[in-house]
Amino acid sequence: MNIQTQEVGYAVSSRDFLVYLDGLPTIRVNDLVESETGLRGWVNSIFEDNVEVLMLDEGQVVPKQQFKRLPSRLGIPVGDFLLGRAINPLGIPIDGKGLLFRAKTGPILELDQTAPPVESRQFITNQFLTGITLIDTLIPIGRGQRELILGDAHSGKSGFLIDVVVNQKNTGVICIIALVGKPTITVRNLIDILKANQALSYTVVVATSSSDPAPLIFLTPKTAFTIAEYFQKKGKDVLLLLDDLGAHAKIYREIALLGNKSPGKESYPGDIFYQHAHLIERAGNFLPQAGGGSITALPVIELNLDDFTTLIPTNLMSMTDGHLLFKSSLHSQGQTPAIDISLSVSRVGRQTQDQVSSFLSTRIRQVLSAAADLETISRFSSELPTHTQIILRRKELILEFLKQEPLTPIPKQIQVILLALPFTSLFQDKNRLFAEQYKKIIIDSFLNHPQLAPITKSVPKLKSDEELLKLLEKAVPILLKLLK
Amino acid sequence: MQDLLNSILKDTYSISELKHRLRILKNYLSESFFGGQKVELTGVEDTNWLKSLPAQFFQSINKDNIYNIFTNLEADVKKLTILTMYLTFEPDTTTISQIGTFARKNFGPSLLLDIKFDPNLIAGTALVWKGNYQDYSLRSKMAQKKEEILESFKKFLR
Repeated sequence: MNIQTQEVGYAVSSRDFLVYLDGLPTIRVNDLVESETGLRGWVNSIFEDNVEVLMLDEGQVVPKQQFKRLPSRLGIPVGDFLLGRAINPLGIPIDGKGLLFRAKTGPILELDQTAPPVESRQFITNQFLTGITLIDTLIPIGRGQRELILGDAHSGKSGFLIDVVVNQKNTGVICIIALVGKPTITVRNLIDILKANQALSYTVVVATSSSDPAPLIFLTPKTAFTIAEYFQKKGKDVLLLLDDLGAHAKIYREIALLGNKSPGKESYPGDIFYQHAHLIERAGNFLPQAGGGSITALPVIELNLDDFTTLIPTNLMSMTDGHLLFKSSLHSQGQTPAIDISLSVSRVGRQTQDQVSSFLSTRIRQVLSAAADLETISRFSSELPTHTQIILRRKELILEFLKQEPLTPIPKQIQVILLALPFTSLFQDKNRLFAEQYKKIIIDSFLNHPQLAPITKSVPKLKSDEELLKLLEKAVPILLKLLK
Repeated sequence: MQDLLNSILKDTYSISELKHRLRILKNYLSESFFGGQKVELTGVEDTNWLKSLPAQFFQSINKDNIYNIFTNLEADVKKLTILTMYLTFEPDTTTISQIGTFARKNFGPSLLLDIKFDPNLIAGTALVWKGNYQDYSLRSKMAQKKEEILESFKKFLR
């Protein structure tokens, strides 16, 4: 750096973490500045006679304090060395494991990037397997899809996210987790859980705690996307979790209100939609000339009392390709994952699903909706027609098979078999308790039993659900023997 | 308005001095127009400066326009070009006026100096002109020739 010539600016006014500088003739948005006392800030906007800077470090800014323009712009060093580490949005490790790299440094990528254009994207064709039956069969997600996770507090969202990350073991998927303004203990716990489940080696955690300065918290998702893009450009499939964008929106509201921007709906500034859309657009499935990988983004929003009609959730619903709605009422009833199937949707995943799963999921949805209709009637009569009884029982069986304890991934083929079983003669006269009792044995048998394992292997080759049901019907006698 | 400012700027070279002088002038005039507390002038210099202002200067200010004039003056001062100078010592009035005269002659008639103290420069000066910081100090020269200096010191190592 040439210390002889530098651009400088002087603090004209300051409000909390917001500082206005005079000077800096050729400064650009997202440039970094540093005060004499070593406090750094990034340029957020430029006005005719001053520059608005958001401070990244906490400290006192006095009038006429000199700020120098730093040679680097707002960015972070990226590389494979990030795997298994937890960093803050500026790339500073926060996991106490020492420096990120010792010998070689990675390229420095700018945090604020424009989303790749449409000509660098391709149709989403591969399914993103989460290892969770309910999602992989009924609400499938594609690689490169953006699926919003909505839910109120204590509805099992965090547990679900950890499950999805842990289930990516040995699949080659890189997981990036952005924790926006979470309590430090949550960050610590997450790292410990991932480590205990050997999931840290393919994961990068970008975290800010609630006590960090607001401008730093605001940058968390941008950093996460920048890291995700690095791995995507190397041809990797990346899973990006943003937990949560509601907190991000609130932080941006705080910054905007402090900066005298006029408040709009719910006091959020007018460009809150832009801020989120600008981020979420960076996910997708990319052509080989654009790196070839994919970024599957799962932004999270915590709802207030199941109300998803407020500004930020509706904004995000409109910029994602579907959403999963978690409900604490379902969670307390023992349904894990506590996803409301009728209110959840995936607009892209269907095209990535194989035919058998697709047919099967239609069949299941039909049963669930028919059962919902019949349930109201069934409350008024004690004697129900056989057909109605079958539908209601099938619904119970399906819901039982959709229940999945945390950290118990189920392979794709087994998921399909499990959900097809209620339609076989095996469960003609069995109830939910039977399914609950023998679910584990059924899964184990289809994985390891010499006569049943070949059925599991042949599932991907099947053309329709009818073929699968015929195949399973043959296995019923063996199963009956095993489940005695 | 410009005439008033020019008369004040005539022998006022630094921004801190200008602000100080504007304050005492405002206090002095308010006192003479509206009475009240007597202005305490901090030194002979202030009294001499007030006396040095031409008679027309005071004629143009009256009870009715004093506040307007000072609001406009303060706004005009904000528009003046400032040359920030980092020095390793605290210059006296004579030095400031010498530098000021030189700078005004070369860069513009209404230029103001903003003198800042920075002992880290060792000797010489660093200037800030329109947001650009130029370091002409001994510190930067030494940093430029760091290798050479270290090399020559090494000769004396045993």
